[in-house]
Amino acid sequence: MYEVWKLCWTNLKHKKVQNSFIAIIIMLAALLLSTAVSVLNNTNRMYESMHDQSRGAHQILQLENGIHDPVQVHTWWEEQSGVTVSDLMRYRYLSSMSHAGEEILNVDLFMMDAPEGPFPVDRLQFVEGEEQSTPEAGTAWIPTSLAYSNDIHVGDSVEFKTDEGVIRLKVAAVVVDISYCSPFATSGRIWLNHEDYTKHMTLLPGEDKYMTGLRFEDYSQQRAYWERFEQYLGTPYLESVKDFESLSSYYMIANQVISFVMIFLAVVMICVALYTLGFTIADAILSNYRTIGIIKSVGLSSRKVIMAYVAQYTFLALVSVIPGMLVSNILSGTIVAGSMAYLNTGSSGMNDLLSVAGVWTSVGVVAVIFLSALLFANKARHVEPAQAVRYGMSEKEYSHQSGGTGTWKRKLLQLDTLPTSMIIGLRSVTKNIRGSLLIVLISTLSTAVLVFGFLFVYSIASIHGTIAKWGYDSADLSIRIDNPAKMTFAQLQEEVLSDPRVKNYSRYGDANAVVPIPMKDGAAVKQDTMGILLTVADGNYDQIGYENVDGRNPVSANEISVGVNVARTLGIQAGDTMDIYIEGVKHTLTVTGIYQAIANMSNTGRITADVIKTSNPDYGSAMNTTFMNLNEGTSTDSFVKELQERYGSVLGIASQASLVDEVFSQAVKIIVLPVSVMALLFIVITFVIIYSICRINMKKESRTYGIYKSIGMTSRQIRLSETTGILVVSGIGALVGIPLGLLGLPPLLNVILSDYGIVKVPLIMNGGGIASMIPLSVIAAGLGCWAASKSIQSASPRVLVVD
Amino acid sequence: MIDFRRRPCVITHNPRKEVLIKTVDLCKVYSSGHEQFLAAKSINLEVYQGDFTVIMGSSGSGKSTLLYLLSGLDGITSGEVMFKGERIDAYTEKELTDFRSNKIGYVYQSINLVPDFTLLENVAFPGYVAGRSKSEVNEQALSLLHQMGIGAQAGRLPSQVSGGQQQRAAIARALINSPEVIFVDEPTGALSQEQGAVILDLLTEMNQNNQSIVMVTHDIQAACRADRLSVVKDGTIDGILELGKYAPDQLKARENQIFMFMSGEER
Ligand SMILES: Nc1ncnc2c1ncn2[C@@H]1O[C@H](COP(=O)(O)OP(=O)(O)OP(=O)(O)O)[C@@H](O)[C@H]1O
Ligand SMILES: [Mg+2]
Repeated sequence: MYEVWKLCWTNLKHKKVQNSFIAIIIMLAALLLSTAVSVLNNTNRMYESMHDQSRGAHQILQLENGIHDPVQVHTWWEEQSGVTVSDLMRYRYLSSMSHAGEEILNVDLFMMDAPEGPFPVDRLQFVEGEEQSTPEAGTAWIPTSLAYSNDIHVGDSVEFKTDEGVIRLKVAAVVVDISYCSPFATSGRIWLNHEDYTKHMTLLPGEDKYMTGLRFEDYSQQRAYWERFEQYLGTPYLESVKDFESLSSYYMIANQVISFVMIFLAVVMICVALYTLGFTIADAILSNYRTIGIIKSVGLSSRKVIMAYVAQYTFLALVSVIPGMLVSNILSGTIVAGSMAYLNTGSSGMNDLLSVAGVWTSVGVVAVIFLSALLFANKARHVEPAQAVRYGMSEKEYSHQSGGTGTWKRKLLQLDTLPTSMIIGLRSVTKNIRGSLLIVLISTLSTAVLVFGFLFVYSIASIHGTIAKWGYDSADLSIRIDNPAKMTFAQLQEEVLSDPRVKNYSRYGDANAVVPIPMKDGAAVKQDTMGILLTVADGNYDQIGYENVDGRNPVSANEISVGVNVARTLGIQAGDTMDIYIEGVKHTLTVTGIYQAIANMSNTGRITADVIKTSNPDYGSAMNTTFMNLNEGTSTDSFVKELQERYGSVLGIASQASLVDEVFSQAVKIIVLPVSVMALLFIVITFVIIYSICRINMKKESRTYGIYKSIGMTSRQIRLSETTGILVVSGIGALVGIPLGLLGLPPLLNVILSDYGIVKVPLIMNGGGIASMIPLSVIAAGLGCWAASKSIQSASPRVLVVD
Repeated sequence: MIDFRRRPCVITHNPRKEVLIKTVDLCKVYSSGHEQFLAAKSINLEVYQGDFTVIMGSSGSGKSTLLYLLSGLDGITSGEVMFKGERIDAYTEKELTDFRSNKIGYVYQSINLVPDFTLLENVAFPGYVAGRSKSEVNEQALSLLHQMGIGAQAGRLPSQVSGGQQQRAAIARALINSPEVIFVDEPTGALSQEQGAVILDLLTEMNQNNQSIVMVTHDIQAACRADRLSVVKDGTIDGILELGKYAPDQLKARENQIFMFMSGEER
């Protein structure tokens, strides 16, 4: 065995460039892959462990319309075994909160009448402030999602505007409230003392709403419970239910997108690594053909020769996977910590030193390298000593080479029109078809990744431009009436909306609805239902800029447009009709359009207020938001400022841009780091691969360079011509990479995001930015070649020729 | 005048000695592209234990080819090659590697040391392959290098020593596993007169210590060292000359004898 080790060690020691080159590629591939896997895994693990620890709800029933008796519903669930049920909690909605004089934009608050803690379901985890069974009078507990993003701490005071005035409460605790803490969420539960709730909330117009959380011992059994529950009710359950999938989805979305993209790229990179490995081993065997022959002639068996190669590359893989794994731990830790910050209680094991999944991934990488080394090194089996020593290659190849081939190449490079340096450069390119192919491949990939990465980040960062394609309105600003006692809609119309700068406006509200899901086969006895959230417009969807992927916006009292996931679940298309229960009343509506929306994973619908008014003529008073567009030439910001100064206490006014920023700045923060890391990795890989290919080639060609030098070419000329050749080749790669990045990779995003309600991710083509990505990999390639050719500089013709 | 008429092949069996290698109708065809070249034509040859056998012939006559075939380093096209009565051409890969490792040593025409190994490592490596203990092999390798007069260069890479020194290292490598026979292809070809003489003296001394040697050469001076001389021409054995043990004072006489033999006057 010693001889195998000796051989392996000599190869490791004497082929430093090739070996470090393989090592770096393996390291980066392991880094990407194990980062992706750890991010996915840790996100899930962290969420699940927090969900278990808090005894998180699987479903949350919101009884808001008085259709079912809350107590009766609550009691029925409490009687079931295998289900833990929270107290029946009273709440009201508020949509205004300010801290330190700053209005917090875009919030939907559940003002909760806190029951005695600790809660049996959705137990709060106290991050700041002392854990108590219930908040003291005059204080409130707020969720981490609101606290962290607005820098609110225990002891600060927060204000809530209501119809009756302003409530000021002191923050007594910041809590992780598992079901309402996800990133990108705009809703949160504010926990109030019972007296405070009674004092401030019950005075407000409207009725108390009720909420109860359900936690199943076995979540997969929930259908059976629901069947019995609806049997008991005698009707379908017509209020809203939030289920586990939607409660957890936003914890996962960013990391899932990132991880899937990363895994995809890592797999690509591993393929490149394997190809490179094959290339290098084949090259090592070819260039050592004679040596292998000698070694075999002293009696070393083929098996052992192969073993030496396999040992060499497995060793390299082992050595390089370790730093990859360590860095990936840091990287994935950072990514997870960033996106899961709201779950961080400071005590949980966020930064486990080694992620088990990461370790397994690395083991997998080593195994793959081992197997491919075995495959590629098999070439050495056929080395016949006498032939190897005589020809330095196999007899077959020898006889192949002595027959004339490759005339087209010679012809191509005889063109008198090309400058000499170009011909010299291209000569080495065509001579090394395999190496050149690898260069094209890697330039293509890295250009594609750079272009796609830029496209993705740029599109998220400038999401204002495509906001309607993410399911939001694209109005200039929104106005919410916080205090109807001081300002009615009629007054608003008179004072604000009639302003000559206002181009158009619509009023919006929302409503919960339940949709029966038609059973397949038509043999339905019992019906399944799904709860969806409806946007209700008194006005014009088109003006406010809502868009559809198919069909048009609803305009009349019997029309609806639905989100892609609703359409998918129901199996309907534009033009079909559907039954829907709104506030307990059944309507049959024609589907006019299908749209995609990231909010609520497209489990939503859009109707006009006329639909509800047919059964509830008073509905209009519940519509407290108005979206408006301004005439051209009017500055939205100054208009918003002006209104805020005049109506600050009764109206919530915000430009659409600032609302969008609020949600998506988080997203940008989360994705920028990993995408930049990936882009950087690919640039580094390009440099490393090209550097190494050039080094290998230049070693082989050193005799030729010696001859060039001895006939009077300068080193600079030789290096320039080599680099020119590489620039041409990688330029070809970059050209192929652009369409791949622009058209090939985006569908990947569509696949990942379609579960979240976005079937066609709206990307913004920014020509300048994309163009600026193209030269990056070509430059990296050129630099790689230039650096690799440094050895030509120092060597004298004698050294080059003798080598 | 040199007579190149083809002579019938002679098998002269010498009952005094044991047969080490024997070939029967050995043929080798090289094919390059669509061309085929018959480099060994129906060769019948015996090599005796303890002999210094020399194979002579002009360039391209097929000497190296024959040596590869005798040593089992190349596959044969037809016929038989027997080593101590065993068909080595029928060996499995495992038997063949064992054979190469333990029974023979080979010194190439083009020397062929492993460029990344030091001289010492080059010499010791076959010992490792044979599974011998590392320290014993290293010790022996060093003493062989000293014996060859290049002990001082043991730690250098082949590219850092002269051609003659490489040649001596290659011989040391062939000897490391105390093979039954060593094959030496043109050891003096690339060397100066004196360097060549040093190598030949080394080989002669080894042979006197009962080491069987098969050497290829086209140099008459080198051929003088032979106990037995086979002449190869156009891939066939053209004649065999029994000379008996060499002594330095016979050099001139032998030179003449061989020259005469080659010119065909003694046959
Ligand atoms: N692959 C091959 N294809 C065709 N012919 C070959 C091949 N290899 C060798 N030959 C021919 O076989 C013949 C014998 O070659 P060999 O190397 O045995 O000659 P040699 O006697 O050792 O010559 P030298 O003294 O120059 O070393 C030569 O004529 C050579 O041209
Ligand atoms: Mg020869």
